[in-house]
Amino acid sequence: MTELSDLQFALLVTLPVLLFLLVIVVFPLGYAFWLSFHSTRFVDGARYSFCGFDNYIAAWQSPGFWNAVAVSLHFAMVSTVFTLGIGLMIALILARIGRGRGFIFSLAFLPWAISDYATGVIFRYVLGGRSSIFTTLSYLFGFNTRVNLLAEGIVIEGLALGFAWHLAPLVAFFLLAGIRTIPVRLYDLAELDHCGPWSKFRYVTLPYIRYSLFVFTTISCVFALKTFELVYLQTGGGPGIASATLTYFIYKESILHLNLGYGAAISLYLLLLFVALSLFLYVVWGRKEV
Amino acid sequence: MSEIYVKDLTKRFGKTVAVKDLTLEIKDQEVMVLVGPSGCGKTTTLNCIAGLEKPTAGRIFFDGIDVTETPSHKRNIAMVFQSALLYPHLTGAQNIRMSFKAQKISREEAEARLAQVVRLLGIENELDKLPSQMSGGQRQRVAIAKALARGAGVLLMDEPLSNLDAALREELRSELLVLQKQLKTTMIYVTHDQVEAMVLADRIVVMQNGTICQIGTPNEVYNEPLSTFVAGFIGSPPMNFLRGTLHTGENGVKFMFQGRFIDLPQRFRKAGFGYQEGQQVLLGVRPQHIRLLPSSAEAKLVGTVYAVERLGKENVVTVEMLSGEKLKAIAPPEIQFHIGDVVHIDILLDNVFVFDAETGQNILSSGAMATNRIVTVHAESS
Amino acid sequence: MLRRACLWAMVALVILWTAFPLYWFLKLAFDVPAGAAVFPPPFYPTKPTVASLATALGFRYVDKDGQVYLPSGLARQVRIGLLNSFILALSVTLITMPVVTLLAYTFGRLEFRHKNKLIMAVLLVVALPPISIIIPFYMLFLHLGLVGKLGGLILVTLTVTIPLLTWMLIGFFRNLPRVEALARIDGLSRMRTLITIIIPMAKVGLAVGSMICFLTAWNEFTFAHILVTGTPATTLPPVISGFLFMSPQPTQLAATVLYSLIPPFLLAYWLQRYITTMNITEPIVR
Repeated sequence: MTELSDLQFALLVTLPVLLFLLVIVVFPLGYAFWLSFHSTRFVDGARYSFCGFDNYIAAWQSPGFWNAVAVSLHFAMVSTVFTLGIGLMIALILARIGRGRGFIFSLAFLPWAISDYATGVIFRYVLGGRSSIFTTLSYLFGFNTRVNLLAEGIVIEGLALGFAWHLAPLVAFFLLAGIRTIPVRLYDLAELDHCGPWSKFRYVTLPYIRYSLFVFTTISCVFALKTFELVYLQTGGGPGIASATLTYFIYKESILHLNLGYGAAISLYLLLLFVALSLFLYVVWGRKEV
Repeated sequence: MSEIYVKDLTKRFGKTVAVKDLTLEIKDQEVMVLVGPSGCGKTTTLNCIAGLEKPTAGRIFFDGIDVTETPSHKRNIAMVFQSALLYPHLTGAQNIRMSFKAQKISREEAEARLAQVVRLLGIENELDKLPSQMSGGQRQRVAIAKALARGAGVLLMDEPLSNLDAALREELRSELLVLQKQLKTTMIYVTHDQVEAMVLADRIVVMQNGTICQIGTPNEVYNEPLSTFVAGFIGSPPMNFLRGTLHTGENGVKFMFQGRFIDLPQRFRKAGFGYQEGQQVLLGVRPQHIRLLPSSAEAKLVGTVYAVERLGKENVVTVEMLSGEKLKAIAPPEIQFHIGDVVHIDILLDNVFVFDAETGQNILSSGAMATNRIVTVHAESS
Repeated sequence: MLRRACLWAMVALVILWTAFPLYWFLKLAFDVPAGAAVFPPPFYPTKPTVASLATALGFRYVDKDGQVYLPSGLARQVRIGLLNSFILALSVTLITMPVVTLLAYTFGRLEFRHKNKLIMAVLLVVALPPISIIIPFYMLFLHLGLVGKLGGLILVTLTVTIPLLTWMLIGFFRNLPRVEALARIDGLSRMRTLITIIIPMAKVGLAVGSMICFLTAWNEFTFAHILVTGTPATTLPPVISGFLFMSPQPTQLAATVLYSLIPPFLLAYWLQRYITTMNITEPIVR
């Protein structure tokens, strides 16, 4: 029985992987790349005609595109702040629980197991004017107005609430694991140094979770930019185009308007945005954590 | 002046009682060591004195003032924790400065204090390093410096040396003693290592199951143990205990063991020494007070060598007796013992103890049990 | 004492934050269709009943007052959707887990050239939005006749689960005790080591991974929406979307959503206990 070296074994395993990656990465990206230089018409099947950089330029000049970029970035920022904030608070609270742990933890974790799209449906109902809890409360206290958290001007924050509700548990549980590694006596040390709750958090808790916070900030940004189902089901890109993220924009152009080439070009812009944002976060924050 | 008085301290965690009705007096500038096995309540007691735990019952007094409700940072204390605890993301200097950050002292005073502790502990090179960049010993020095920088009158130490290797431990131990004398602070030191306790303490408090078994100077605790627990805990290798019965004989009291009688020395005929005929007792004898002889007319007991540990300066020989009980004895290194050798055991009776088999009390001191009461300190005699 | 009260207040807040959105929406599932039209929206179901739960699945329901509720028009789709979702999730998991175990083990434990580049490539794929890559696949499937077939959906879902699970399991495999040396001395080949020794040691991580894989496939929306909506191969998510946009029946929508939440409800307990063993915050590239 000949023994394979590490490299040989790796090749044996990675060759299929490479093949697989070829299919799921290179193929769609390559095809999208090719598509982006063509305009498509659906007459007698699909017809492609080469149009150079037209699609890219059209996007650059389209206010719809820039609106989508702004919406996506706005959404990514607000979502990340909400997610990390809520995740951290949940982690700090869960860290102190002794009894009833199993039940409370399971409940706290539930939102993450629920799908993106179900979250969209649920929050459409919870925040939308006709059916929101806030409307009920307003009528209860005599204000008698509909409170719509998915209205223009606040819709992104409304979406971000749903996003945070969905992702925060994952953040919380990993932060919790980090918090559990903190030596308890360190809090005693801080107590003797006359540290209040904020100082204790800053000097004792934070150093142990900073790296996780960075990782999840990046993860949250990437997931927020990538999200489609939540937007599609919670707001449908509206009101108007107030919540049309780049992904929704791509959907509209590619599937609804069948401008496949245009959609492909925008996909590549989106990819660029991913890389730029991840690099930015790494340079500004991630590097310091190593 | 930094005197501490702990009165009837009880601490419960849920259903577990960690410390029960403990009363303790610590004198100004004294080094008091709390020693005992894991779970005996020594760390909990220290935490209560520090104010990190709130007592379930009892009061704590510093220099006569009730500080039970006072928060830790307002008590005149400093504390060094196990495993050289420091803020992991601050440098050595920043760690030390945290100690007086909240004390509102002038900048000159702060710099002076920093300089003083750096000089005392020799940590100039560690000031700009992070704890992860320091060795274990350096970390511990910085931790001690951090504690001393508070300028407190009482120094509390929770097993500070237990994570260090043996050589480093001894080195830091002596340094700590020197520092304490220099700075004239009261020191309360917790450890499970009885050697450390004996070396450092002015007085030792032996604890078990949340209560005090005995308080005394190292000498007293070693030479006048009040119970089998104290006798067996202090001293290494630990004391041997032989189970037998007491009987009256023509010469006084006799100890019957495995069918043989051993005449106990005169001091066991003191007035006030009470026993019952046939009382079950444990004869306690330290390994250094047993002589092993190849053959002797005086030796009453016989056994075979079971194991030998050669330590260079001496041998520790484990002897198995006919009854199956094992004894440890210390023998000079020149004598060769082999496993299976038959030896005669000679017990030096001037140094034996007798404990009641049921209660574990030292029979000679049944009137002075220290549990839960303060024992008056005998005059120190060297 | 005050501290304890504060803590339990905060815990109550967490529970409220988590459970309330669920309750607010799912209360519809236990109401009659008319209840959804009430304004302002009530705190409780107007007429608590299991009528909507039954009609969503296609059953005719008669309550104790003799009121009849007709089965929903989309009921057949709901039933098909449930079945197909289950088949999809199961198939995807059964295919993904062996592949990913091999991959994550290789990336996590072995050293070889270009390893870091390969890992980055896998990570990159995790970041791709499904909506971007669906078009090429759609066109391809059109040619292959795989549109509207469950098989096609399974294939495309694999492109999501394999990178995701590989990413999650790399950190986990890395942290297992290094027993390869022991196995080497005992004469086991690398493959046998993996199968007979590593995998049993990795039981927990693999179980968690399987659950996450199942849930990911069960929750998959974008691909399903584009590839199988309205066809016999439809899975549950497009059906729910259909309820939302095409025939607004909020109570039956809520009931269907409730059904779609059963696997997540069941798996949440196990996931929360063991998800941190996956070590996904480990620095992947060293």
